[in-house]
Amino acid sequence: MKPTKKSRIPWNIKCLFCLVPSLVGITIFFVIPYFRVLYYSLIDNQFRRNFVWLDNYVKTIQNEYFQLAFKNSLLLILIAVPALILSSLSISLMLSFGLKKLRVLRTAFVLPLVIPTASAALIWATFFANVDNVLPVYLLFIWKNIGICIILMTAAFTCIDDSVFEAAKLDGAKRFTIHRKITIPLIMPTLIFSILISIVSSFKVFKETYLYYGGTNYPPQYSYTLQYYMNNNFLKLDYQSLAASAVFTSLLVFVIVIIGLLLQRRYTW
Amino acid sequence: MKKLISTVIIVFLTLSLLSSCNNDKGNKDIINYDFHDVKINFTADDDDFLYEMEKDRPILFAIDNNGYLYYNELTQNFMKVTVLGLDGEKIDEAEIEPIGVWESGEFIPYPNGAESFNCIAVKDNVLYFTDSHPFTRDSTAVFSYNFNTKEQVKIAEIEGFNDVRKIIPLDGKLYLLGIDERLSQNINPAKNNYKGESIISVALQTGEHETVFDNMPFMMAETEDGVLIISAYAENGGYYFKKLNSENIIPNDNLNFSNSEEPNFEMYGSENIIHDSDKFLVFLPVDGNSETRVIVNNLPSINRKNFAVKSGYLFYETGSGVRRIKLSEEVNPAVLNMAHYSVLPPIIENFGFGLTFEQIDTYELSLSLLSLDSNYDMYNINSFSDISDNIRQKGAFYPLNDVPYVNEYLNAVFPYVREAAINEDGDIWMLPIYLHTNGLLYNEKICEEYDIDIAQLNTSEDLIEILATLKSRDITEYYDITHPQFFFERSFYQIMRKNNEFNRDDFREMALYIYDNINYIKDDWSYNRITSDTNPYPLIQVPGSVNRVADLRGRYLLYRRGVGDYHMQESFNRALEYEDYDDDYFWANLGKVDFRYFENYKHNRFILYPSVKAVEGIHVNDVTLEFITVNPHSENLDVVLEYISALAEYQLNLENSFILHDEKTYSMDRHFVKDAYEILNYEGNFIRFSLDSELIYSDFEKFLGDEITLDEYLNRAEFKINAYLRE
Amino acid sequence: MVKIGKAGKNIFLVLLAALFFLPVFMTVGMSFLDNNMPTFQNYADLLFDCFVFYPVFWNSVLYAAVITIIGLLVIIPAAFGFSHAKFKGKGALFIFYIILMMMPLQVTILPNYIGLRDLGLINTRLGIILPACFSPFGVVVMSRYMQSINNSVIEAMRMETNSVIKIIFHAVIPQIRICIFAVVLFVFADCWNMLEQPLLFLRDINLQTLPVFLSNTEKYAGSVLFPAAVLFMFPVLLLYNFFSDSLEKGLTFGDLS
Repeated sequence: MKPTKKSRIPWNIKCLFCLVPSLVGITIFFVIPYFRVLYYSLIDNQFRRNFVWLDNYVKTIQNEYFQLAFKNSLLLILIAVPALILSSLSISLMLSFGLKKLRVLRTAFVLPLVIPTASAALIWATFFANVDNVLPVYLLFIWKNIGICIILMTAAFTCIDDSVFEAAKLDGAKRFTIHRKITIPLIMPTLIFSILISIVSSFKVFKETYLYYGGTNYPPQYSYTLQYYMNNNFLKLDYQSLAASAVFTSLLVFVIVIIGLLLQRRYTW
Repeated sequence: MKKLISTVIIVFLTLSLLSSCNNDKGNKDIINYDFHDVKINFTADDDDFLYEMEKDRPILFAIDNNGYLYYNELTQNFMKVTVLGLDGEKIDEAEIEPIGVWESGEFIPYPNGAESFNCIAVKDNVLYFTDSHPFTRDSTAVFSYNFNTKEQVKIAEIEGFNDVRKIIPLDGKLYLLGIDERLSQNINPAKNNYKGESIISVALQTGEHETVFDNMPFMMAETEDGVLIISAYAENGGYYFKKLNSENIIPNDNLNFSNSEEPNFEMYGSENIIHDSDKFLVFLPVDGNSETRVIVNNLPSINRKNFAVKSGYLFYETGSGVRRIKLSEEVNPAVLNMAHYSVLPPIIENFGFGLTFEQIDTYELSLSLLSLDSNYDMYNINSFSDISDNIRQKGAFYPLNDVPYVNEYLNAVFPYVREAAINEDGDIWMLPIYLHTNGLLYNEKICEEYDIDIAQLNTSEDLIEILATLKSRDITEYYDITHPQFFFERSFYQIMRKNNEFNRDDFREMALYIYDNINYIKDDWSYNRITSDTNPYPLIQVPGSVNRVADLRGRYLLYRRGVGDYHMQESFNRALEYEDYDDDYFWANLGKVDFRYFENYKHNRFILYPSVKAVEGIHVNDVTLEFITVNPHSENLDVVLEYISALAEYQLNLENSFILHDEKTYSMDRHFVKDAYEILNYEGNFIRFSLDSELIYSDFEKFLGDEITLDEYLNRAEFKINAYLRE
Repeated sequence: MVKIGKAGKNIFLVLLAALFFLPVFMTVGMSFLDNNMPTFQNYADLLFDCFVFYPVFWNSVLYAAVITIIGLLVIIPAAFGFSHAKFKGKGALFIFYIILMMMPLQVTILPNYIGLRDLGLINTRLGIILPACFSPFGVVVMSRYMQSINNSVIEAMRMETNSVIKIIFHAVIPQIRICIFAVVLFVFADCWNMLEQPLLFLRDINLQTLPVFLSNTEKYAGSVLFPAAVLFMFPVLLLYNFFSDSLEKGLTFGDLS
C-alpha cells in the first residue's frame, strides 16, 4: 500500500529535523560555553590572556589539592552511587512486588527531593553533629536521590508484561531468581540511566555538603571534593585551575560513559 | 483531600501572581524631563559677570524671566529693591514700605530691619515677599509690590505659618513653602530632616489661602513650562517628586546624591542642583534618570538660600555682589557605579560625581571580575576579604600610576600603606581610603589610682599579671571586655608573620600556651570568657553589644576598641538617643573627628592591642585597609579616573585623617588623636590581605572547648591554611 | 518463616518511610514554632508582611512551569530524532550530550554568564528560562526510553501519514508516558531548586526565585524562612501526586514477594 500523500521529504530527514531545536539550544548554551572553558584552560590569566597551552593542565594535575579533590569525588561516585542504586533497587522491588498498600510509601521516599537545600542540610547537621567521617555526606546523597531512582525503577517495572512473571512462576522459579534473572535485566536501560542521573547528582550534592559543613570553604579533608576545589579557585579569581579541572572531569565522565555503554551493549537484545 | 490541596494551591498561586503584577507597575511610568535651555538670550558678552554692589547688609535676590536681577537691601525699617538689567545697569528701584509687625491692625516697624524676611520672588515685574512675625513667629504676612504701578499690597496673612523659604507665583496664585506650626510638632529627626513644612497657595486677587500639600515636602520649583514640582520625604525613607495636583512622578528612594542625610540639593525647574563640598555642581533631572552634568568650577561656598538658576545661568552671592556664570553643558553624563563588599555602604564623598553604590557578595564580585564585566566602575573592598589580594595578583585592576595626585597621596600616607598599594611590577593597583586596627582602651585615672603601669602591657602575660594585681586588691568591679576570638586570632596572625606560612611547631606552641594559661569557659549564654590563673578572675562579656559597658559609667579599666573606625559614628548617633549614656566613642570620619565628647573623657587612652604571647622580634600588627580599585573594563574609565583624582586630592588635604603620615596634620594636643596616631604609626604595622579568620580560629575554638584534640586541630588548621594558599 | 520475612520486610519499609518523612515533619513543625511556642505567627508574618515572598514564589512557579513545558517541546522531538534517525556520528553526538550534561555548575557559570551577557539576557526572565530548557539531560534520558518502544505502531502510522508531529503525538507519546512523567518531575524539581543562576544572573528582586529568598538568612528572620520552606515543598509534591496515579495504573502483577 502506498501512502496517500507523497511527501517530498524523506522520513530520515524529518527525524533529523526533530533534533534541530535541541541542537541549536545546546550549541548556544552548552557547547559554546564548553569551548570557552577550553579556551580559558589554555591561557595563563583571565586578565592577561597569554597562551600557555598545556601548562595549566600540568599544574593542576600536580597540585596536591586537586588530587585530593579528584580522589574524593571519585570515591563518592564509586561508593555512593552503587549504594544508591542498590538501595533504590531493593526498595522499589519491595514496593512494587509487595503489598499494594505499601505503594503509598513511595511518596515518602520522594520527599527529600522537595525539601529545600538549606533545610535538608540543617536537619542533617543536627542529626550527625558528632560524626567525623565522610558517611553523613554519602547518606545525604543517597537520601536525596533515592526518590527519583525509585520512581524510575517502579515506572520501569510497570512496563514489564505480566505474562513474563506468570511464565516464570509456572516454571517454579523462586522470587529471588525471578528478580535476578528477569526483572533486573528487563529494566537494564532504566538502571543505566539511573546510574547516569546519580552521577550527575553527585556533582550537585555539593550545595548540600557546603551547607552541611556550615558554609565553610574548607571542609574536613575527606569531604574536599572537586567542587570545593573549583569553587575556591573561582573565588580566588583563578579560573585556569577551574577550567583545567573541568576538562579533566569531562574526561573522567567520558571514560565512565564509555564503560557504561559497553556494559549496556551486553544487555541489549 | 487532594482537591482541597489543589484548590488551596491554585488560590495561592493566583494571589502571588496578582501581587507580583502590582510590583512591576511602579517603575514604568517615568516621565522624562529635558533640561529646557535658554529661553532668553542673555546678551552679556562674558560668561562670567559680576553685579557689583556695595553691600554691608545681607541681600536677597531673584531673577525674572527677562534675566533682570531684583535685589533688595534690608535697611532699617524698610526695604530697598533695585532692579538691574543684563549688563548690570540699573533699570528700576523702589522703596518698599516698612517691614514690621502687624498687630491688631496697627503697624509696628521692626527696629532691626527685616531679618525675619526670608525670600522674595518676582514675576511680570511684580515682587512678592513675605514677612513673619519676628517675635512670636506664628503668622506670616504676604505682600506684593508692583513695579509698574508702584503699588504695595498686603495680600494675605496666614496664621500658624512662618519661615517661608520659597515663593512661586503661578497661574494667579502664590505658592509658599514654609513651616506649619501644627505639623512642626510631629517631626521625627531620626527619620529625616522634615521640619513641618507645608505648601500653601494664596489667591492673588482675594487673599484666600489653603494648604495644598502637607505630606512632608521640603522643596519646590516651577518648571519652564509652568508646572509646580514638589520634592517631599517618603514615608519609609528617601524622597520623591510630585507634580502638584497630579500623580507621583516616581518614588525614588535610591537616588543617591551624596551620603549626607539631608538632601543637599535645590530644585530649579525640573532639575536638581546639588552642590557638594562646594566645589562641584551637579544637575540631575527630577525623574532620576540621571544625565549628570558636572560642572567643575572653583566656586566659593554658595549660600544655599541665596543662589538662583535661570536659563542656563547660575547666580550666586559673593562678597562683592552677585555673580552670574554660564553653566557649561559639555561635561560628562556618567554615573559611576561602585560595588562594595561589606554590608555598610562606604562613607565616601562623591564630590558631585554621580555615584551609586551596590552591595555585592563574594560570588558576584568574582563573577564580575572574571567575566570582565563593565557593570561596576569601581570596587570598594576591605583588605581582610578573600579576594583583595587576588585582584592584585591576577592583575584585575587598572593601574593608577598616571592619575594626578595619586602618587603624591601615596607618598603622604604611612609607609606600610604605600607598600601595600604598589605591587611587584610597580603598578599602583588601588587607592587606600581608611585604615582600621584595634587598640586597647584604658582608663588612665583608674590605673593611676591603683598603681598599674599599663604602658608595659604587651602580651597577655602582662595582662594577666595586671588582672591578678587587681584581684589581689579586691578590685572586682572593673571588667575587661576582651573578645577571646580576637585576642587569640591576633596571636596566630602574629606567628604567621607577614608571609602567611603555617608552621606546625609555632602553632602548636601557641595553642598549648593559650590552652594551659588562659581558662576559656564557654558560658551558657555563649558569652565566652577568658580568665587568668587557676583562680579564675572572670573577664566577662557584658550582655548586649560587645563593646558596650552598660552600667559602668566611664569607669572601666580595659576595653577593646577600634582605632580609626568610622563605623562607630552610627553607634554614636544611637547613643545620642539616650541622653545619659556616657560611654565614649571615638571615631574618625574623613577629617571630621568630633572631640566634643572626648573632652569629658580625658582619662581615656589607647595603646596597641596586646598579643597573647611574646613573639621574637617586633610584634607585627595587622591593620586592615579599605580601598578602591578601578575596573579596567569600565565604560566610563576617564570619568572614574577623574573621580579618583579628586578623591586623592581630597584625602591629601585632610586633617586627622588617620591615614596620612605627617604629624602636623593631626591635632596632637588631643590625647586620643595622639594615641591613635602612634598606634597607626607603629613600626610593626602592615596590611594583611585575604586571610579569613575562619581558617585560623574556628577549629581552635573547638580545641579550647575540648571538642577536638591538639593534633586534630593542628591537622585541620594545616589543611585549611595550606589548601587556601596552594589550591 | 516466610510470613515473618514478609512482615519483617513490610515493617522495615514502613520504618524507613517514617525516617524519610521525619525531616519534612520537622520542617513543618518548626514552621509553627516561635520561641518553642506553637503559633501561626510565622505564617502570618510571611503571608502578610513579607511582600517579597509572593513575586518570588510566582517566579519560581513560572520558571519551572515554562522550562518544563518548553523543555518537553524540545526534548521529545530530539529524543525521537536520536532514536529513529539514522546518521553518521549519532553515537558520538550522543556521548557529547552526556558529557555536556555532566559539567558541574561551578565551571559553566562563568561562560554562561558571559554568553548571556553578550545576548543581553542578564537580569531578564529569558536568561533563566532558555538555558534550562535546552538541557541535554532530558534528551539523553528520553531517547533511551524511546529506543525500547514498540516500533510497529510507528510503522503502522507511517502508512497513513508522513507527518512526524502526528506520529510522535499519537504513536510515541502514549507509550513513553511514564518516562515523560519522570522527566517532567525531575526537570521541574531541578528548576524549582535552582539557586546559583538566579542569584548571579538576576539583579532585580522581582525576578528572583524562592531558593534565593530562602538562602537570604541575613535579610529575613528565621521565623519567616520555615513557613516559606514548607510552602516551597507544595508544588513539587502536588506535581508528584498527579503523576503517581498514572504510575499506579501500571502495577497489575500479583504479589510476588
